[in-house]
Amino acid sequence: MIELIEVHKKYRFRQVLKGISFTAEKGQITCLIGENGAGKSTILKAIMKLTPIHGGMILIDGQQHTGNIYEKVAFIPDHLIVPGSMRLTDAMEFMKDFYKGWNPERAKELAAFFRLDVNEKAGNLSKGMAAKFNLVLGFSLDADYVLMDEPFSGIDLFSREQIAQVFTSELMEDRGVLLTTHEVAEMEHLIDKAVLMQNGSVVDEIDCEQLRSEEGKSIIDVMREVYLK
Amino acid sequence: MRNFGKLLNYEMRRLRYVLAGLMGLTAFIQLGTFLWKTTGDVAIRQEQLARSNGAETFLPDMTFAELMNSLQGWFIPPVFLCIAVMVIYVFLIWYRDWFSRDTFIYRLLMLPAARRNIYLSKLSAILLSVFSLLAFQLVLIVVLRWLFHVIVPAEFREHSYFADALLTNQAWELLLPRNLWDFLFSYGLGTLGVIVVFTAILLERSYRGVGIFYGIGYVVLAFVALMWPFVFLGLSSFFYPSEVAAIGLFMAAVVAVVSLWLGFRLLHRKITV
Repeated sequence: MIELIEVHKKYRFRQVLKGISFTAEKGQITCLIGENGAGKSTILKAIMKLTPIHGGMILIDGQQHTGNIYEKVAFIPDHLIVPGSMRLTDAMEFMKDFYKGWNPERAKELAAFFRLDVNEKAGNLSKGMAAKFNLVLGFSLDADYVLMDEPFSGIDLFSREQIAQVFTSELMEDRGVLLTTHEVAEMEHLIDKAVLMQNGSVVDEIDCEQLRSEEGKSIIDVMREVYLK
Repeated sequence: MRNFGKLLNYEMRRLRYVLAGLMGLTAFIQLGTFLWKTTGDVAIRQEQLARSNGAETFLPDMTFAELMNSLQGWFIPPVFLCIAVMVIYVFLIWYRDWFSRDTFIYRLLMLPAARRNIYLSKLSAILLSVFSLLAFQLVLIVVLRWLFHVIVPAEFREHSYFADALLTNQAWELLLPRNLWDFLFSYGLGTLGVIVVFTAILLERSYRGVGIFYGIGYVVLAFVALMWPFVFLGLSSFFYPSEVAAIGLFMAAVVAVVSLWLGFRLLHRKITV
């Protein structure tokens, strides 16, 4: 379980995260929802220790950050993080060199599924192809948790369908996924838990299944209540 | 250690075109001007010899050291270009990972390895590149000397020592000290400079806007710490020069240790993408 306890973060004098607390469980898809600037991406970066926090705690399976978390948690940002001059095959080789949990067969399968030319240079990929290659890099790690920042941002309809297929595949089984997205309508049927954020605070935490079965509401209904009130 | 080796290998691969370009340009300029000057000088002597019906030439015999001295104006610019590129690369080696279209620093910071390996691999890549360029220059001088013996007939040639040839070029005299201690002092100071600048860059990357001032302040502070034994203690008659030098060496060690410690700590705790 990824657990955030009273996490605070500020950029100079602006408080970006104001005591954020929530959990993301293994085997569930948890979605961080909020307007631009709510602090969603900052939370993902803070979990990966790509930006420092100024208060609170982040626990992964009950433990605070150690160097091994990068074998346990994979992060898929909203842009490619491979040098443009690198061929995709070299990028996969780079991952294999450093990560014990890298699964080369799965990487090959995923690259074939997304119809990526592995001899292409990363710098030549379109935004959609880059997003798909990001997924290849993230999902080919045998990590317990996958964090994804806006996986659908700027991607065409058919590519979105392909990516959504990955969410329902066995690749997701037993993994905990924490993602941010603005495309809530498309993701709604996949999400187990939604964490609604506003101005650096958690304003609501929703068990989606319960919401659907007991209240007959969708996440968007709740978002309307929270953000448009 | 294995991760450090892999990262260093990767950094060197990224640098290979820059290094190859610098070496190619240096070889092109130095070989080109050498051939042009040597063949020209030999031709003049041969012409004079022919005019005097094989009696003698009126020009002095050619020495390799003298030739290197006369070619300084052509040989120094590529050397300074290499230095300038390496100085720029000290900054580029970090900033390209943040500011290129693909922010590779995310991947580097998320490697399952101690983050100090990133720092050490970048530092080692810079040092390895500098020493590769130096070694290339030395090999090039050896090749030029061999070419000199091939091109210049024995009757126009006078023996000179390799070390004299190094002394005739002001850039080589500076970059290739003949004394081991001078060599260690020059390159030790250079390495220290790179470490201090790396720490300043990491201060800027960690604190962004205000980090620029922290970075500049740190460089100034390190410079003052290094200079004060020589400026203040050196002027007083209380210490012997060897004692002032020892204090200077101690201060250099302190600056190096503090810079490395601070750099590692920033990478581990404060860095932000």
